[in-house]
Amino acid sequence: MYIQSLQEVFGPEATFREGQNEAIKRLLHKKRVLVVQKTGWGKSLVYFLTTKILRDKGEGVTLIISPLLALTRNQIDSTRKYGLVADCINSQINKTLPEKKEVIERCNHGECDVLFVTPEQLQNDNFKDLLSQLRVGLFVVDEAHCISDWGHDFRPDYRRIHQLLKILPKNIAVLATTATANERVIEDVTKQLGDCEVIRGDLQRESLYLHNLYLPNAEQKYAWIAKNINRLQGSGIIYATTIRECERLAIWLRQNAIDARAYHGRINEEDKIELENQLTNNQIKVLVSTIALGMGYDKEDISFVIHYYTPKSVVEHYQQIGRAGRGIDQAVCVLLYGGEDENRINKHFIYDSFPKQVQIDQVLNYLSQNDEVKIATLEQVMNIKSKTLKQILKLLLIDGFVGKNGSSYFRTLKHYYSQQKYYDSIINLKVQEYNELLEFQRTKDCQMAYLTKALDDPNTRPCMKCSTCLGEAWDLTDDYVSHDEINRVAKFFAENYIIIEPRKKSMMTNKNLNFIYEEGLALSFYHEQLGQEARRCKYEMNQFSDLVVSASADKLRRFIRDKGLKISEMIIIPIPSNRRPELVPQFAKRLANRLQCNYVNNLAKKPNEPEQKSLQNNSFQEQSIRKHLYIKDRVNLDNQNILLVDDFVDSKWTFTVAAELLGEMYNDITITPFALSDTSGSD
Amino acid sequence: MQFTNNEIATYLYCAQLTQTRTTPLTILEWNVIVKSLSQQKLEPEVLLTINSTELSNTLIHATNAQKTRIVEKIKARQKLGLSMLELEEIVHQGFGIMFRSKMPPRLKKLTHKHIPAFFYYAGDPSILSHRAMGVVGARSATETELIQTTDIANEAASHGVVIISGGAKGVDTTAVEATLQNGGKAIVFPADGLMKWVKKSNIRFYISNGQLLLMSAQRLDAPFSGYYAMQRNKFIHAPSDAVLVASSKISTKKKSGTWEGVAENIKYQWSPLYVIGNSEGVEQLKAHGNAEQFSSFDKIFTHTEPKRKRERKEIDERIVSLIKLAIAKGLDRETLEEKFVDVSSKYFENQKQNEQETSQNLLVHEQLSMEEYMGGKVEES
Ligand SMILES: Nc1ncnc2c1ncn2[C@@H]1O[C@H](COP(=O)(O)OP(=O)(O)OP(=O)(O)O)[C@@H](O)[C@H]1O
Ligand SMILES: [Mg+2]
Ligand SMILES: [Zn+2]
Repeated sequence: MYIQSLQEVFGPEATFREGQNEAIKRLLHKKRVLVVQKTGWGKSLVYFLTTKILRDKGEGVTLIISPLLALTRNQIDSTRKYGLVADCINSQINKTLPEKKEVIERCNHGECDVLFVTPEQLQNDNFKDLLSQLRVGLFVVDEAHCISDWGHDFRPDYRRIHQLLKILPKNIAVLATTATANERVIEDVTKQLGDCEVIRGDLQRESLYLHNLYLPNAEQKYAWIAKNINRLQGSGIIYATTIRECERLAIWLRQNAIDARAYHGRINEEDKIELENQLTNNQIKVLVSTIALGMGYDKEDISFVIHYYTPKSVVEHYQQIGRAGRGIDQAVCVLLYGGEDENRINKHFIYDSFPKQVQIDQVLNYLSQNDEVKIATLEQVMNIKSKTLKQILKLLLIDGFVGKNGSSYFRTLKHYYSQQKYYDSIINLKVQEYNELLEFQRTKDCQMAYLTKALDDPNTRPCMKCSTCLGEAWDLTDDYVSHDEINRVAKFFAENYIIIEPRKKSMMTNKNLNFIYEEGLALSFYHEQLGQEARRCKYEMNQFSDLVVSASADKLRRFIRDKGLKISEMIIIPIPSNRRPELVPQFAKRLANRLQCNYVNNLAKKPNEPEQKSLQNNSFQEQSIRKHLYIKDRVNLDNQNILLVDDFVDSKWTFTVAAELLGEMYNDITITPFALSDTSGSD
Repeated sequence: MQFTNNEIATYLYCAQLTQTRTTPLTILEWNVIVKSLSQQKLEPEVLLTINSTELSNTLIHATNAQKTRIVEKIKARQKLGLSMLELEEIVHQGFGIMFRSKMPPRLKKLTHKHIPAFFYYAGDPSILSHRAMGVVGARSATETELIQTTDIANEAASHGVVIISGGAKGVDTTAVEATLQNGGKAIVFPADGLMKWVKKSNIRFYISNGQLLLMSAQRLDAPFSGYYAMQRNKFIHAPSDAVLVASSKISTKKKSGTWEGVAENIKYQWSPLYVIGNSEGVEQLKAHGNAEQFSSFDKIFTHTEPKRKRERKEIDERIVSLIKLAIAKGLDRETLEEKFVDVSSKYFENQKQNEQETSQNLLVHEQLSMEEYMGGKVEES
């Protein structure tokens, strides 16, 4: 019936995929529809074509709730094909209210047909006021499994959409789409949508060739990737979970003459856009990405997806491999699994999703007893990590237990009941989902069938393409890695620098610091072998081993040389500690000996300093260090290059304050911090 | 809070929704719509989908001028369904919306043209079912008048009488604070939006204690408005069983809020007036025989008190005899207590369910029964 509209877009040969026509028809009758169809099926076609028809009838615009910015950009690009004008409102693109206002006005004046927003935006009062002026004909929740608590990747912001759906008047059609909803999620989402029709198809992806491979350490994985990536045609994505790993792996691949780029949350929006474009135009071989580029992303010829770490659930895995082989007949998806590291990282994500009840209670009690409270005040009176505090406030906001007014928070009327059980149930579910994936790693069944079955696809069947189905006949990858190849990686790791970035601002005054140290160096990450060695030395022997000293000396020599400085002309200053007065100075002295540079011990601490670890947030940490750290000897250090040495670095406040003290005291100095281990993010 | 399509439509067209930059229907326009729809067996939810011509034809009780205005207003908001984000936020923060169908009879004492399509509220709406005394008075009340007000409000608490006030400085606040501190209950209709009120920790305390109910026909973040301050006087006078005038000026060219409210009460005969002190307004009320000197709660509520006492006594006696029966049949104390809680909670649950099921019908019924108040004819504004 709407074939004409389809053919206007996709040419006279085009036909609907099964279910598309039906979904469109229902939406045009203002019905609510849930579409559960495999990745790459064409769920976006349903809402874009419906929009086209609705707009021709003079109806309002289509509002799409979409979870990722990269996905939004990708979808906006594809609306052109439909002759639709699309725009988006999010925290990155149009930051100011007038900018957002302009977008809304264009929508209402017929100059824009589709508006994308992220669910986070729906928490913003000013933005909600603007949205209230928007004439909407179709409301779309893309990746709708996110609105279910059982739908993986629990995004608190989606919880509000549930309530909005209950109140949205029935003259607005509602479409929810996802590829990854099992029975339970379908049931939940259907309930949230109210009276709705489910359009569901099978999930098997015919073009994907799946392969699970056990490689228990980083060296093996790096070697395997370097070896195989050029065997794989076209361009693709490597998923690597942490920002650090993305960066390091991309560097490694570039050293191997492979055009690889890291893509993650800390890259600024403009660079991201550039990277997305390069991938779209096949100008780079591989993007090493966190989940920032996951769900929904549509490029027809992604020909491989490699998982450096096991994803946290079947849903995440199916979504991510779903980026491959959408418009081509063959794409290879390899899951490299094994190693303690990936378990540790995944468990960290799983167990770190919710704050502790005592801390929640602490915040609530304080808010209950006060009228409106500024966030800065909360940080000052509450010994809670500021990241945790923000997380707590966000959850409380989303559940309506607190309200927000600018940068102030207040307790609402809603009666609070402990959310612990609920949080626990979600964590439990995540653990189950992770276990399911651990099982998938070693499954003897068809890998595709395992995934589709886990998603309750009734038409699960062997794919005859994966490395289980093919067995010995699998020849798409070369899984043997030699000693030499592994040694090359080990050397690369040893040479790779872990940078200590400088802090620029005081948390107490929010003003720029008077003096900022240079980029510094950490010898190891806490979870790596060297990091664990340093921990053992500190807590069990109260003395650092020769191994630690020589590894530090080797790495520092290169690092300082690369900076264009002479190591022998540097002055080493240890960070003092009253708890272990000899530990760091002794180490620093040995290091100075080894490097043949000068050693000055002129910093000291006043007694009774609380342990850093007990201070939960930046404001507390900075305050405490400023109160205790001082310069005890006024040796002249003008015009010197200083190497500031400590054992572990986490918040960087000690380095920051020490550098500022020295910088204010002496003229024309540089300061480079060095620590044995970077422990941040490893509690 | 769950809403029916009718309620959502009511909110969409009657709420202020200033952020949409459109105009809500007035109470009179809404009444005309409800009456017209009901005669054609239609419900407010059709307003979400009806087109302009159909709507125009449906409005049989509207004058031509009204028709044009209504059609325009409905058209302007019909596609703004997303503005229900506001309603979602309100409910999210724990506020309630009381549509006409849920308003207790006490509020219905207001004549039709004064009943808003809904009230925002914060707190336990069942406070409305208690006996209530309105307290009004000028901001400039004297020390003696305030002390007397405090005493009376204190006493109200011990008599189980709820204080209804406008939440202004002076008499209003004195009365409410006194009764709350004495464990009593109060209903406040502030002249500004409710948001500012519930941000105060002591207000939240009394609300969560079940002692305080805030109500308003204004949007939550509304600033103080003199116009609405006058409007809301009737919300204090009409639902009260009696109104205490603690102090009042007499309106001259400069209108006195207290006096205007009192005059309106006299005009519509909402509730008997009692006075204290000797402000000029109070003196005049006494002189014209419009008010009596406040003497005691017993006197004001005489007619209702003995009957209530009798009823309570009767219920007590029945419960005692049931307990006796149960003990005779060998039930121990624990089982008995459990049973009691069990049965009563089941009963209330059922009742709640019934309420939900019938709420749809109820709404229509209530909207239709508006005709009673309209006396079958619709006034022009
Ligand atoms: N009927 C059709 N005819 C031709 N091409 C189609 C048809 N339906 C969809 N496509 C194309 O298929 C591609 C994938 O569609 P789309 O991005 O909507 O997938 P999806 O179902 O949303 O997948 P995911 O779950 O990964 O988000 C798009 O490029 C789209 O243009
Ligand atoms: Mg999609
Ligand atoms: Zn297979």
